[in-house]
Amino acid sequence: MRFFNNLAKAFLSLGRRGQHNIVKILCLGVGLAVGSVLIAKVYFEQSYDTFFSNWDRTYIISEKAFQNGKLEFYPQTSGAVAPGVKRYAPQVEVATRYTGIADECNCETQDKKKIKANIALADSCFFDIVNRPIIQGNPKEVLSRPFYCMINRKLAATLGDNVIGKELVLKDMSGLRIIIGGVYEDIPLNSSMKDLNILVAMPSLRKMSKFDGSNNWVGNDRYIGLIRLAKGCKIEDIQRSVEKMRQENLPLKEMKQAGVDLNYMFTPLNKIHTSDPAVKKMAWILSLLAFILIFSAVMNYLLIVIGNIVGRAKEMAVRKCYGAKRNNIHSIIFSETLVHLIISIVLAACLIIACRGMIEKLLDASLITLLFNKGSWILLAVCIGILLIGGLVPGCLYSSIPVATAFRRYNESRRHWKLLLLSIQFIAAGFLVSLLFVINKQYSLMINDNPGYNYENLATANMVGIKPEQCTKTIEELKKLASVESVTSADYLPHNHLSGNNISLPGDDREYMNIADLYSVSDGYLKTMDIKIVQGKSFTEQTDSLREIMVSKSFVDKMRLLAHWDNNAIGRRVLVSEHSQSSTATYTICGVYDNIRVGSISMPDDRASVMFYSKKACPNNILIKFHNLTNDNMKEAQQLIQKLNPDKEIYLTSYKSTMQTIYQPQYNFREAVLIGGIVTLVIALLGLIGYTNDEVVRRQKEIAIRKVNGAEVNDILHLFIKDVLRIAVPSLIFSGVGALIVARKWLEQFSDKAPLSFFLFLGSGLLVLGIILVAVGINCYKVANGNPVEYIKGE
Amino acid sequence: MIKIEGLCKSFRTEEVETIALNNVSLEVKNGEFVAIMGPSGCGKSTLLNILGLLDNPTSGKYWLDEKEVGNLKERERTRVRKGEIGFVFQSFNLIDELNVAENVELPLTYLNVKAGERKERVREILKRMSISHRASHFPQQLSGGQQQRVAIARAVISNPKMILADEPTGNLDSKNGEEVMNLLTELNKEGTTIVMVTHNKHDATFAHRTINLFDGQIVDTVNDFV
Repeated sequence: MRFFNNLAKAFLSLGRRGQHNIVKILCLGVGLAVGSVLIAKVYFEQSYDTFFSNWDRTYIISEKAFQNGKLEFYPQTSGAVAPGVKRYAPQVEVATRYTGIADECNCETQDKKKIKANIALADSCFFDIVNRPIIQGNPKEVLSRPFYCMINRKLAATLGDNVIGKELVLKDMSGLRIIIGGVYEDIPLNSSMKDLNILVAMPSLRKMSKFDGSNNWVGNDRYIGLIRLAKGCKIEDIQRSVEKMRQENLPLKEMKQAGVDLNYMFTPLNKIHTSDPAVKKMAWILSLLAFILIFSAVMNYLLIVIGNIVGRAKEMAVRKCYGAKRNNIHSIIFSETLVHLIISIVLAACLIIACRGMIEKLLDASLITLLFNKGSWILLAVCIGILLIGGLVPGCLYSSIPVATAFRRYNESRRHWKLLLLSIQFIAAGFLVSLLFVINKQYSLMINDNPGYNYENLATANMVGIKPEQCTKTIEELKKLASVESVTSADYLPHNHLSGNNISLPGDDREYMNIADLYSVSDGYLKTMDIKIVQGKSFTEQTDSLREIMVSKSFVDKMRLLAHWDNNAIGRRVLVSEHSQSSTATYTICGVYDNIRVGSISMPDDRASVMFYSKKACPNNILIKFHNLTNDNMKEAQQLIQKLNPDKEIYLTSYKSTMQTIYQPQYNFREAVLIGGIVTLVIALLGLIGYTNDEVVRRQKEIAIRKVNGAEVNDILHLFIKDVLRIAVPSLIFSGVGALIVARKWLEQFSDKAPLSFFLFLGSGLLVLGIILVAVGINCYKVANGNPVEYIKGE
Repeated sequence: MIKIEGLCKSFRTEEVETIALNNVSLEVKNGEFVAIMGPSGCGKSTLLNILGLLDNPTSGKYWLDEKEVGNLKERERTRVRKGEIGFVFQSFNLIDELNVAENVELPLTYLNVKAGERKERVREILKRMSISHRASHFPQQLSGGQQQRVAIARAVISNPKMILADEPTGNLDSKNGEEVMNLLTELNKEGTTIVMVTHNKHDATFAHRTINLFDGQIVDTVNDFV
């Protein structure tokens, strides 16, 4: 009963002057809001691919290839490998494989409903491993029938009621028709399979394409293979079986002659994402950020509570005089902390809901998924920790003040506590601001970097599904627009994730290297992209360009080392797997272009690249170089393209915005650190203001005496600023060093790194110091300029 | 040195207006020792605060050395006060975190006197006040009489023209109080104008003139000769 009384009193005394309860609640609430979202994100990332049962026994098969002295790993295998492992290893309960065949494919139903979907081929064992609840249909049966498919719940909802038996026309895949046979529950967002909307039965492949590699042992290694071990078995147990499988099915002798040694490795599926260095670093930094935020908020709470000791000492002494025991004091303080915590949690919830859109955009996950999972237990534990620390520590301090001392004006300031806590907050704020500067610099470098080609005024449109002749006509019409400088087309753009092929020489069985294959480009590609030719010439219609190949400078450099070429690559003939159907189907190097960045700075691809010539337009991508890329010019071109191709929705996008989208994760990270940094700085400033307020109260007599003896405003401000500088300067130096260490680790993932200069850290430290000094100055100005009589009167 | 005419000071809260000083006029000549007496709440300390430029009157005029200083802002008051007026308080008002020497040199610090000169002047004044042996001690380590002597040392170190003392012997026993009054008399003989607020009739006898205040008004002036 008394406890509930205390709770009620605590609630009613929220507005009591001098206790800064609103500031306490604000600090805690904001810290909890941002900290919990970050904790939720880290947990979300760490629990990747754990949404299905027996995930802890599920492994992904990767290729481990030793080629020309270099060890490479590929997360995909040839089609026969996964079922082969199951056949050979009795410890494997079930195996499956799937492969993506279309991203954002335009599809249409019989009743002309248009949708976009990510489509993969999957075998009938897919749902034996990825056991999502099945809403309709029998997945084993559906995924065994050619041209039948399973779709996810979200897509089914878009298509309306009773989707079973409905036909989907895949417009981007030459109008291929598939029939919906079943519906499965959506795959959660923290999964490598989250984007799969449609799973088409694997047997469809032999009827879809001339080439069916689903049972290949070598080559066409595009399949993601998964196995599940039986209970009690270890992955090491299957190694002998896998070796036997290798010996019996792979052409090991021929591969050896070609300089290739191929083996397989098995990694727990859930570890693939979490062991990615970029994901690890991100998790580490976000965890640190969350810790700093929550720690700062809690420390601020304690700072203010400890500052209140002077003011409340007499109150507690009076209570003790009237019989209050230690428990009673603890109960009062605990109730107050509980009330503050509850209100802070409510405030945090409101803040999170209010900023839902921004949070989901920055963290690339839905709020419900982020917060309502097992990671919520961590948040609960944090709240309990806050309650215990915030509720018990101040109670102990109040209980320890002797009554007599309190009545004789208890002035024990516990400054060293407060200064320590303040120092920690300064370190946190300084660290985050410095890190922010680095992240911003890196992001600027990424979006403004020179990838070896010029994408200024360049726009692209995806024309997959449009016939080459129609594509050619569109290009011709586009060229007539006054705003257009040139138009070309290409199968793939340099920033795409490029497939690989192997290079060998005529009469030599060896495969010298794997290259990034840009596949075909049409007329004017190099000119439009402003790619410099360093040797030879570009493709032209006058020569047999169909048997010509252009290679990057790094291709020539590597062949110089591997095949002892001289500097002149022009006229050399090479064999390119997939393109060269026989050992005589060589390609002649007609030109060497300057190195271009393939992939991105965050996901670099350091392979050499090659490109082939296509007489016809390549429908995958049309590239339009404008004289001046404006919204109006883009709109005009967009309208023309759509007019010429009314059956398909085609969107023109600036290349620059595509590049910015590629670096969206870094942008989001920058924004997350910015928000974290601002919140930490605000919390630190609130703590600082609380500290200076307490110091002003504690030293008001001293201030009055100094003013009486001639101290002016600047002299009084100097007192407080000197006091704060003593902890701020060493704290900011320490934080700068910490930020340097973390920044270096973070930058390791990028191929091009922003330079870390001393002045960057000095500047950020000075910025935080400036903000701190301004806060102190503003807060103390009133008392510095006040009438000393007011303070002396109090004496 | 000091001339006030029709000085009024009132304090307003939401509900009540208190008139601390009501139409007070007086003059203090250079080198005079004036005592202000009166019952508690009569406005003695308020008058002293205004004379010391620690507060502004609500109305009336105040000339200090023929300059009107009655309506200056806090910043300007500080500048005028600096080095010209010394203060001695009943509760000494020493800064606990500073030792005796540091307390005494405080006014010189704000007058931008160089460190070497400060040190010399502090040494001299502490010797004069017979507390050189306590220069590195802190106020908590001193007796009441010693603390007041430190306060007086601080008040005179900048050679002010005027010292304002608010019940300087109020917290002292008779022996120490006598010592303090003798010190003040000595300083006055050297030419320093002293205005002292006191309850103590004995202390008032040290002054050339006693002004009696009652309910914010001067009711009586008694000339005493020491």
